[in-house]
Amino acid sequence: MRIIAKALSTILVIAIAAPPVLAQTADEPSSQQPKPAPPPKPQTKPVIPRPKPKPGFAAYGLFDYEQMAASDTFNAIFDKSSLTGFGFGAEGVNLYGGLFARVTFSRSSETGSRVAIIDNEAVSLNIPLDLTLTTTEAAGGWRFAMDRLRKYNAYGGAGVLFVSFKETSQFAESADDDKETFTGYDFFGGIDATLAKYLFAAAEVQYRIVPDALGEGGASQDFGETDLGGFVFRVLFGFRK
Amino acid sequence: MTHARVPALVFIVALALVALPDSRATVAADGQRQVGPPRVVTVPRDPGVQSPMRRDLARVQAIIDARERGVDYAPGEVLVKFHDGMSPVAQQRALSTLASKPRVSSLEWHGPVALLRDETQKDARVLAQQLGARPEVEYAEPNYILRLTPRDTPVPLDVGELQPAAAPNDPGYSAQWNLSSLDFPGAWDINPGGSADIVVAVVDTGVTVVNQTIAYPIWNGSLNQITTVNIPFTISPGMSAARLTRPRDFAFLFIAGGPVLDMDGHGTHVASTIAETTNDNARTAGIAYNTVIMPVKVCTGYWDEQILRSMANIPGRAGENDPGCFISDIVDGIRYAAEQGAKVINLSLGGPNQSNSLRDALTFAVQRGAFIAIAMGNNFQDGNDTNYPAKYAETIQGAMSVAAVGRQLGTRAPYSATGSYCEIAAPGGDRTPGPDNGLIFQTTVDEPSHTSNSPRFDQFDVFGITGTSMATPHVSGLAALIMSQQRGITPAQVESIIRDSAHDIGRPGKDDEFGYGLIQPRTALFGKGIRK
Repeated sequence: MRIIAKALSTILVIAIAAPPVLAQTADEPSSQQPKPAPPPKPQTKPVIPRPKPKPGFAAYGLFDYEQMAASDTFNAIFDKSSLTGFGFGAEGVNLYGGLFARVTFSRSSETGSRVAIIDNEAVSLNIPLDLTLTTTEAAGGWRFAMDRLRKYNAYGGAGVLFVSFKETSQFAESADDDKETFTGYDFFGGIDATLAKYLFAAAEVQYRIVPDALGEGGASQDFGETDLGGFVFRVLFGFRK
Repeated sequence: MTHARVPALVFIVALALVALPDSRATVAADGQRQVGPPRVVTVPRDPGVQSPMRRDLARVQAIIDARERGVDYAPGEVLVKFHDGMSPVAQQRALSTLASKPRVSSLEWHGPVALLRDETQKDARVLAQQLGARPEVEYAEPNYILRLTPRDTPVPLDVGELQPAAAPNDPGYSAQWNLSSLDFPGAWDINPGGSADIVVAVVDTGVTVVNQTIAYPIWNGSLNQITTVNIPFTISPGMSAARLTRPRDFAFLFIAGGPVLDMDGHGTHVASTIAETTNDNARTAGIAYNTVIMPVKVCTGYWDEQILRSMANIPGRAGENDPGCFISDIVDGIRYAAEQGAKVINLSLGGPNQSNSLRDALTFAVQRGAFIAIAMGNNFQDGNDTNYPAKYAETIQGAMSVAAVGRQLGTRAPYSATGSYCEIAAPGGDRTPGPDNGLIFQTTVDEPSHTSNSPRFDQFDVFGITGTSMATPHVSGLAALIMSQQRGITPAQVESIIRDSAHDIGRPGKDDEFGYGLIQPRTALFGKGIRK
């Protein structure tokens, strides 16, 4: 019985220890515990850097949606604090690395009503008022290539703004209408996407500041708002080479 | 039962019936017991509608009494405002403290205020004091007599020699410096005369609304007796019948449905400034010339009083005082105008006595959506006492007190009262630079001489007058234009627009002479843009 038990225990030990031993590679010294094989590495294509961009140019149309900083004033006159506009632009791209420079033009117009401001509330006087803003931007920035997303680029920059403000009202006398140009600046960032060989589209966010353009009269004086800028969401579509 | 006990038993039963509480008795709200069902006293809100009360005799007697006593209230008349919820029993309890023990049923109601006439106590101040001390009474005050606020005798203007202006083409416009210097033509470019759905109530001596000859008794000085005369009345040629709406007379012949007749000219002059037909190549121009006038007569002039005296068989001529306006009638007139939908109310009248009932009527009207323009008064050179109801305007948003400037727009008219309650200024006229050049010219009835034995009120002409009475309708007319331009605007907002657009004159900021400044009609109507 003792012999049988001893034999059974030996068999049991062998049964437990044998698979790991058998799994060992042939190179493994038979005297050491074989290490488990590392998992196979995924097969990746090697990253091929983008070719150095060549200088080029772009031309595009654009659509702006601007949330005005002078929100109370615009709400009073137009019942809303945002403007939409259309325009176009031209850009020199890759001037030096990712450096670009651009000039854009955009125009927004809206019709509202002249008002009386009573306790910070606007009461319409039912006299139509037309506003036209024409914005010229001269800006520059840097475009960052996204190597893993070859069709996309991120960009950021800053620029100078020249905002032409024109306000006309029905029944206005010569001194009532207003036309003046103000200087401001903006900061922007966005992402563009190559749609086809020469076609691209972009989405951009701007922060505009046009200081001291408002506030010396009219509803803007009542609300104490002086900035003709605001946040702009811009969409561009055009071609570049 | 013996015979002696039967009468005793009957007596005891009878006594019990009297002494024991009646099972039908109720307890009124003030804790007083009433036997029988509670009596409901119908308080006539508008006695002129429910019963044609003839107050003319009482009125003329009050006018005569006041003049003889040298007081500025109707002798024996007191206005009483009971606390809300006071039952007739409680009201009677208050009245019973007076020596004459008047009955509640004798009260004459003017809205929530009751007019009591006491024949035994003519000093209304005593009555007011006695009643005001009662816990049932919120306030009591004499029925004061206010005055209109023209400054001088009307001066006729010969429009025949004037050339029609380019715009408007009314020949008298050349003399209306008050309209041209404030650039009303510029205002009319924006809002040509307002709209016909805006009703302006002229609470005044009335505006004649009929073309009719009416037989009235008057004193004939030649015959030294009262005679009946056919007196012709005509609607002003500057105001067609279609532009007169819902007229009401509370002062002359208080008969419901009776015509409103202006026998003084003050009311018509004021109404013409507000709304005279314009650009019709005739006479003069008005400000809100498309709006509608509601003539509300609350003041009587010489001829009203003369006729009332003659009706009462009182010989002799009436007094030569300025027209008088009983507080009770003014309260009625203001409440009537507001209830009938007037959007603007013109009050070219005032006096030195406070009146809670008048203040309450103003508040009522503003709450009903009516803007109120009130004359500051012409007593700067006569002591400059505080004038009412102008004083109340400073605490009521939607009512404005109006001071007068002369032809030199930056100069207060010498008669125009001053005070912290002054809110705005408008042309009231003066005699600068020439004796007549600074008057306010407007079409009105040519009041006959007071010695005439056959007066007529069908003759109209252009007359120049000065006074805060004349300044006030400029503000009323401007308010009517503003309300035409923006439906739903509140009286408080109208006041804000007029105030904020005013041109500051005098000391910087609000001052006692001009308030917030001189009205600027075009600026008020043009409003604000983004930068201008």
